[in-house]
Amino acid sequence: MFKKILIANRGEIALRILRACRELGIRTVAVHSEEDRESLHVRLADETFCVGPGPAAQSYLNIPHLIAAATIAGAEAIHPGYGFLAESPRLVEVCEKHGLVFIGPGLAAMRLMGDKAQARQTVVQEGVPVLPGTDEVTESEDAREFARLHGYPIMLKAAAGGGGKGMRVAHGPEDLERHFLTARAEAQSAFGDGRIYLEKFLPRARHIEFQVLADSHGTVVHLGERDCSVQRRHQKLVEESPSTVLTPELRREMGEAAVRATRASGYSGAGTVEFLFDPQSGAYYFLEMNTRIQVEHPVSEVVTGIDLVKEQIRVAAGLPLGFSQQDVQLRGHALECRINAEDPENDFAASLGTIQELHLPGGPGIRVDTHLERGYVVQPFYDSLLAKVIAHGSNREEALARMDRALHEMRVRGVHTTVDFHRRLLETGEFRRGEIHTTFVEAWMSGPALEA
Amino acid sequence: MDMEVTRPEGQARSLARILREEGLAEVEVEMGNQRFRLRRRREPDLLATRPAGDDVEQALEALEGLAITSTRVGLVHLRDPHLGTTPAPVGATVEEGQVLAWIQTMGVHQEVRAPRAGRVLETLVAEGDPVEYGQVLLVLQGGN
Repeated sequence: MFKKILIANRGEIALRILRACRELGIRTVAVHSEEDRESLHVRLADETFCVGPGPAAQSYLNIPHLIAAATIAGAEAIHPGYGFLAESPRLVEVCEKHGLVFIGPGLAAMRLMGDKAQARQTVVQEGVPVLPGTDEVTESEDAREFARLHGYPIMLKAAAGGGGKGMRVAHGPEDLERHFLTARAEAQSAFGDGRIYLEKFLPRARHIEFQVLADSHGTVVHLGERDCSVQRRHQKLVEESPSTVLTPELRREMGEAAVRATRASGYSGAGTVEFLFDPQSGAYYFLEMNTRIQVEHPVSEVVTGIDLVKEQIRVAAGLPLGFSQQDVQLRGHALECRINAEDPENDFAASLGTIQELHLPGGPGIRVDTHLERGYVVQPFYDSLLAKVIAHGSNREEALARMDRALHEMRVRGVHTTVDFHRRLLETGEFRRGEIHTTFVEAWMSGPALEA
Repeated sequence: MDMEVTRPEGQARSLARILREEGLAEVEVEMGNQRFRLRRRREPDLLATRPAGDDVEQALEALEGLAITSTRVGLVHLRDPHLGTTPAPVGATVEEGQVLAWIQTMGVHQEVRAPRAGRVLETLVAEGDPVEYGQVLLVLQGGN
C-alpha cells in the first residue's frame, strides 16, 4: 500500500480523497492555487504545495508543478479526482516516466475509452448495444434507408455542431425530407460545414449509468446503476440509485454489459459506463465510459456500503478487490442533490462571494460532501459546485423525505445557491412519481408547473 | 512595494520569528500590485485564523524591499549549476535582469532574474530547498 499520495484537485473531491487516505493510514500532499491557500483540504493535509495562481491552467492543470511537488514530497501516487487532469493521458504518461502511480486506468484503457468512436467499436464487439447512428449522410435516400431500418423519430445533427446547436428532430418521412435539406443548409451557413449525421432519437430517454470497479487481477464488478436523468443543459442536477425504471433482470443485463465493456478495454480502477435507456421499449444503448471517479459516486457508496475512493486507491496499489459481484447488494434508496453557487432566478448565472453564514444538514441518512465553511470565498476560476447533499432511506419515499428535510435545514448565505430550486424540483409530481427524463427539467421550467 | 525603512537588516528573519511565535501560518502585505508574503509549514489547525497582529504590521512596515518569489514548484539553487558560484549572496549588489537563482522543475533549470537593480537584503531559502509557487526566495533592497 502507498505511504503518501498527492491529491491533484481542490474543493469537495480533494477533501473526499483526503478522507479516504486518512482512513487508510496514507499521508497526504495537497496542492493548491494561491486563491485556495485557506481551503479545508489544504489545512487538513499533511503537506501542502502552492502550485500556481488562481486560474486552473496555471495551477491545477500545471503538470510539471504537480510532478515536482509529488517528487519533492516523496509521494508514490497521484489521485486526480474528477475534472482537471482526471482524464488526461498526458498526466498518466508523465507519471509513468517519473515512477509515480496514477490512480486511475492505465494509458491504453484511458485512450481507448476516451475516444468515442473507438469506445463504441470496442463495446459493439462485446455485444453491447449502441445508439443507432450513421456516418456522414449526403443523400436523402441514405437518410430514408436509415429511417426504414431504425424507425422514427430521428435526430439530425450537424457534424460541426455541439451543445444542442444544429440539431433537428424528424418525426416522420415528410419531416425528414424537409429537415434534411434545411439542416444541411443551416449547418453550412452556421458552421461552414454542411455535413449531417443521423441518430435515433429517444424523446423521453433516461440517463442511466453503471458504476464499475476493476482490479489488476482480472476481477470486474458493477455496483448497480445511478439514474442521472434530471439534467439541465447536459449538467446533472439530481442522481439516484436504484433507478425507478429498471427491473432486477434489466439491472443484471445492463450491469453485465457494463462489466463486459470494462473488461474489453483492459480497464482497472473505478469507472462509469453510461447508457441511454428507453423506458417505452426497455432498450438501452451504450453512450460512453467515464474513466474517473464521478461527482455522483456517493450515491453508489451509500446503497452498496462500498467506499469507492478507498477501493480506487487499493486497486491502484495492485491489491485485488476484496469482494465479488455476489457480495454487492443494493440496500435502500439514495438521492444526491448538487448544490451550486448559481442563481436560478437569473438563468443560473454563477454567483460569487463570501459565505457569511452556513448551516449544513445532518441527522439520519444524510451525508454532505462539501468544502464549504463560513468565510469561504466562491472564486470565479473554478466550477460552481458547493456541496453534495446525499440522502439515504430504506426506500425512495424515505430518501425523498430525508432529502426534503435536509434541504429545509440547509442555510447558505453570501452567495445564491440552488437549494430552493432543488426543493421545488423534488416537489413536482413528475419527480415524485419517478417520471423523469433528460429533458424533464427544461420542460418543467418552461411550463406552468414552475408557478405552482 | 515601497515601504519605509527604519531598520532594514534582518527584517525578513524577524518576520519569520513572529510567524513562529504568534503561531501564524502566513503574513502578507500588498501595496499597489506588489506583494510580500512569508509563510511557514503549518500544523493542521482547523480553527486557526489569521489575525493581523500589530507587531506583525509594524515589522512589515519596517521593511523596504522587493520580495523575489518563485514562479515554479521545484528545488531552488542559489549556486550556478555549472560554475558552482553564488551569483547573489546576501549583501551583493545586483543589476536589473541579473540571474539571482535557479528553480529546478522536472530536471529543467529555470532562471530567476532581478526585476530591478538592488542589494540582496535577505535569502530565505537554502541551496537545494524545495520551493512552492509564490514562495519568497530572497529580498532585494533599494535600487529604485
